Amino acid sequence: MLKEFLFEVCSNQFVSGFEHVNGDMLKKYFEPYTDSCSKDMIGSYIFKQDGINNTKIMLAAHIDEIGLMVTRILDNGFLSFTSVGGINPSSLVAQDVTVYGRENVFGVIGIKPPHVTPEEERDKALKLKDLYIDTGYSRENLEKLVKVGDIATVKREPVSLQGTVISAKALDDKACVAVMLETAKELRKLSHKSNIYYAATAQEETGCRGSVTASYKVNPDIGIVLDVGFGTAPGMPPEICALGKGPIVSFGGRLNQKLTKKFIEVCKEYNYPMQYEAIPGGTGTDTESVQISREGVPCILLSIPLRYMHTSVETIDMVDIETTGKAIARFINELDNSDLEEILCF
Amino acid sequence: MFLKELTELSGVSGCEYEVRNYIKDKLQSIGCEYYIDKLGNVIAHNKGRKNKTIMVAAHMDEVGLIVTYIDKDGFIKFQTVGGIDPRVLNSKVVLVGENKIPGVIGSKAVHLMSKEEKGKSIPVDELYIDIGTYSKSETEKLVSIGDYISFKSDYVEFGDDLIKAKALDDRAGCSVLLELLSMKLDADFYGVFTVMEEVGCRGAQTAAFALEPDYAIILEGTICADMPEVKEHSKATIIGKGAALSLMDRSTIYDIEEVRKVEGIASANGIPYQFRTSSAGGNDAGPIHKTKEGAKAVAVSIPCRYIHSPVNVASKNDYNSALNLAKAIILDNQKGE
Repeated sequence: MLKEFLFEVCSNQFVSGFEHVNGDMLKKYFEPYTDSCSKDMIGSYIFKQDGINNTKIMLAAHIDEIGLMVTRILDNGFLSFTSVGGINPSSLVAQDVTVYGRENVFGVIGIKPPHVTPEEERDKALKLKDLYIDTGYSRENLEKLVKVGDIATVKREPVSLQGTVISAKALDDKACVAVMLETAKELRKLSHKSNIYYAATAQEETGCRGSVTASYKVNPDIGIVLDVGFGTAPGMPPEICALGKGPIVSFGGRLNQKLTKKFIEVCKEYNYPMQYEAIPGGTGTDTESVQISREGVPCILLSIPLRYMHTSVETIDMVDIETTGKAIARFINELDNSDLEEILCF
Repeated sequence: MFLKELTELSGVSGCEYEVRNYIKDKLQSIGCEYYIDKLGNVIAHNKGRKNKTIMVAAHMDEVGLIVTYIDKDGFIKFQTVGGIDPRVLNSKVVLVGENKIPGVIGSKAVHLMSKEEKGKSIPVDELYIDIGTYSKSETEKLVSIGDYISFKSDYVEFGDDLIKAKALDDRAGCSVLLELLSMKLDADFYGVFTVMEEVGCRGAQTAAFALEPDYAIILEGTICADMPEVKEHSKATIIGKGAALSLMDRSTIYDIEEVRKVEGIASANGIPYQFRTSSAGGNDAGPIHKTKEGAKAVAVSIPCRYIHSPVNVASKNDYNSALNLAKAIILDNQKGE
């Protein structure tokens, strides 16, 4: 079910600022396990499981993804574009794309053949301004379908690699929306006293904006922020975490130490594998905004290890999603049976 | 047109069997006589009125990758087969070996790249393929050194009569040649589906030796740089402007009288054509026109944007122009007095 969910959401677009277009796709998967759903004005979807006490725990994973936006329509069906969120232009060369215009328009981003490319140019990385989307239409026909401001993404069918490893675009951060789905499913089986909110937040890639309004709306007592983290691959530094070995638990200046330790304790007790990462300052995740919502929210940050971040072949091990989802459910169950004030007091 | 089927087959130079098997089946079903030579070329014979020996060549192979090493964590190192700009390899899905094990060519997260790294293209020896295994032994159960790797890229019809696929260079030529053989023209010619063009036109040489053609027509997918900001004189060919006739490239100076005759044939038949206004690249005409005592050769090409990448783009109209022109050239050369 998790894989089916990921393959469906990763085949569609959720570019920052345009998440709402396909937002209802989430309902189909979350509604069987949750009691209500609300949206905020920015585009976040918030699903809720009702509890029996007044405690509110919010999980947050961003639903938005990086993408492209059309800036100019040129002769012979070419489009200039800019990026929405951080994209390495080199990862866009020789890709199929879908332009979301009046209808979905197929295109490719090509590259000049070597004979008109001087030697010194070949060693240099391409810049966005050097790239065009080729739609194959005449300008006249294209203008009927596409407008400046329309968005586009690389067109990539998700692919199953060996074992439980999969590769797709936008697993950052759909992988963690899948974690929330797994937690919701598990908590339907385990009892929970707290009210649990699953926030699929908007516009993380462009500055963690959806989580600002979502956390204001929910006003949680505890935040569990989920994002993807860097996974090992050749040429990476030694402190990078591996795929398949569980969530990356973050320690650092902006995270709640006691809550983090409690999560680790629960994982150890129930034999959930995990890995550690130290982040001294900013985490570059929704934690940035959730933590300082209203009068402040104690937060932990868990990450799913992912290779080739912000490319169209982001790669994860599904095992990590299941482990993390189940571990969070158990963590919540344990929090419900602990003295929360004692954990949260300084 | 057989382009969808042909472009979805794998046929990296030296490993053309999928394409060869497909072509053999087609030739059998249309009742065309053929044989396979020692290098793997498919040599088909369309019998008919004959003034001279004509060889029509299209190459079956495509550019791709080959496995060179498997590291301790199961990642696959590779080299390119044929000319590939390494910049087209970043973030691609590929199929490894005969069992088509899916893999991805990833690259470092942009967040982790130094300013210097961001400015440079990644050389092939820093790239690798990830098939989702965790160890050398796990990968070795599925992949061996020497396995061929091809791009995964679907055939898509889009825009105003355009096609996107991998390997249009030169499955476009193969498809034209299959269509010519299907027509059962009353004009004698050998249709040769060659191997190993992308690694030095090996197949064309031995086929030409066997056939001793007087005249050769090379059917190719050729360079096209009609993109924004490329100067007019550097575009080589323009999509939608018709079949491209070669004048000179790195392998051949095409016999100018024959080229002028082809121009005349195109004009007389109302077939759109253009000149390939670049001398870069080469094709099977190179070895063919130099075989034994030599042969006259012309090249009729279909312009392909983004050639030698996973996303070649060509026009169906140009394809039809190339087909019609090749047919008209054959008929003209074998016509009765």
